[in-house]
Amino acid sequence: MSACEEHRNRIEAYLSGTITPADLGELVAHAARCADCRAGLDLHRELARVAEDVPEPSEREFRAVRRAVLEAVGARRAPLEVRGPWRRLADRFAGAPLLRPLAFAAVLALAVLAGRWSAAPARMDDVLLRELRSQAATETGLSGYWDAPFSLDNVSVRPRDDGSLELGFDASRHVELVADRNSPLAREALVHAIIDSRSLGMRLRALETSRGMADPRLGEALVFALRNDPEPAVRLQALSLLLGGTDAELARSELLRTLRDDPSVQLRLAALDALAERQIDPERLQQVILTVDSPGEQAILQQAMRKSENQGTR
Amino acid sequence: MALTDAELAAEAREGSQAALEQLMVRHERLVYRVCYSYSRNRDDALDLTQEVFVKAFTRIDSFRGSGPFRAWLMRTTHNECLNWTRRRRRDRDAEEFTPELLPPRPPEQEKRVEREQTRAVLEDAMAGLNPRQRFAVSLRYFGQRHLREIAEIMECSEGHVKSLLFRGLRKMRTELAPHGS
Repeated sequence: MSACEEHRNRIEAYLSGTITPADLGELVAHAARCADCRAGLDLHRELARVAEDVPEPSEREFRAVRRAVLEAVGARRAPLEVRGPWRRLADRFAGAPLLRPLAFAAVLALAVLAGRWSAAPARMDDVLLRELRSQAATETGLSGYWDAPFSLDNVSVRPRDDGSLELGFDASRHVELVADRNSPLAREALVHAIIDSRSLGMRLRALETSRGMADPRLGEALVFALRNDPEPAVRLQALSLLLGGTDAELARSELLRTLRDDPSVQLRLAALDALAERQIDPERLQQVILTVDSPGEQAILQQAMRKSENQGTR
Repeated sequence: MALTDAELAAEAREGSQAALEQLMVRHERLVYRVCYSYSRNRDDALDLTQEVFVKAFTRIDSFRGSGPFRAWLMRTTHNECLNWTRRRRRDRDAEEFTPELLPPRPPEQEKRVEREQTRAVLEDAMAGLNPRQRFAVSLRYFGQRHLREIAEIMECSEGHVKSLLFRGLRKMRTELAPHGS
């Protein structure tokens, strides 16, 4: 390892994702000659890949965990603070920890039913609240609580001096339907799933589903994901789809941008490999090299050009 | 505007279940991923995630907001994972934990089998690290945290985290050498 001491800081920076483009260029050149350092970098890639394969639980499973936690914690905490005309109902369930969140929801639903909110709802809210009221009116027990068509998040409830309750919540309704693969709605949902979904698994699945679908909005979503998604796995997938797409010019420019700007070493190395495989026109690459100021970035691009040329001579 | 973690924690201290739930929604995936790096099993990782939140929320009064909530939660996660590992070891008596003892995973493709084997060997090598090296590697790769945040969570300098990662991975390579990795 002593021969590699001078590269130790670069490897540490590489492992921690903080390496500068200049140092990366040096490290790439060194790793090409040093089997020991190459093995270290390979291990980094393997670990990153294994971590990306972690099976992700569904939203339903996480919801079950949340329920169990609230139940366990609720058993050890003070009863829910609800005053006014709904206090009696909350008290009725206060002895059963599991039912406390349900009591909370029931109180809330009944308060909504009674029209005791302070803010004047906007038109869309009006429709939503009318449906919520209707649901609360037909709900005679708590058994259907978990399967209710609405979910209320970010809930707050504050007693007012006149005994009414000031409520706040985000209400959403889950919709499930079957749509034609090429319908505008399906494409719209895919675009949202690619750029908006909180679930890494869903973003990856949406990207995979969009494979082969020629649509300008999906193309823009791919570029957006490649440039902005926080997860390297998603950016890698987006890059792969762009490379397999029909817009060769867009793919080339995104490859070069990824090589220069992406914060992930893994992505930059993947872009380097892809550039070599695609045998990008050396003149064009040379032009890009001349436009960058950093010697490190120039070194990386020179490396790409050499690999591309080697590929071409095989 | 959405409440910060510290504001939610303050509401949770006052008994707000909604605040507890919101904190879980924000951090459950990170907690799960770190738990998974220790348990190497999906169901155990979910159970552990539940234990972590119960432990954290029953002592939420001890979070005073002097640092980020997530760092505090991650330290709780680490402690629970270590406790789980010790319990697991005790339950298995002197039985060695080897990849062969992992529950069988139905292989769909040859490539998949190869990846599963690589994963088992890597996870086994990770289990051989000392607790702080393992926590750093877990946060870096499974938690996908940046160096600065890992330092904040582990209450040490960035340089020390770099060193933990470097030495941890070097030790893993030594462990992996007989496997031809």
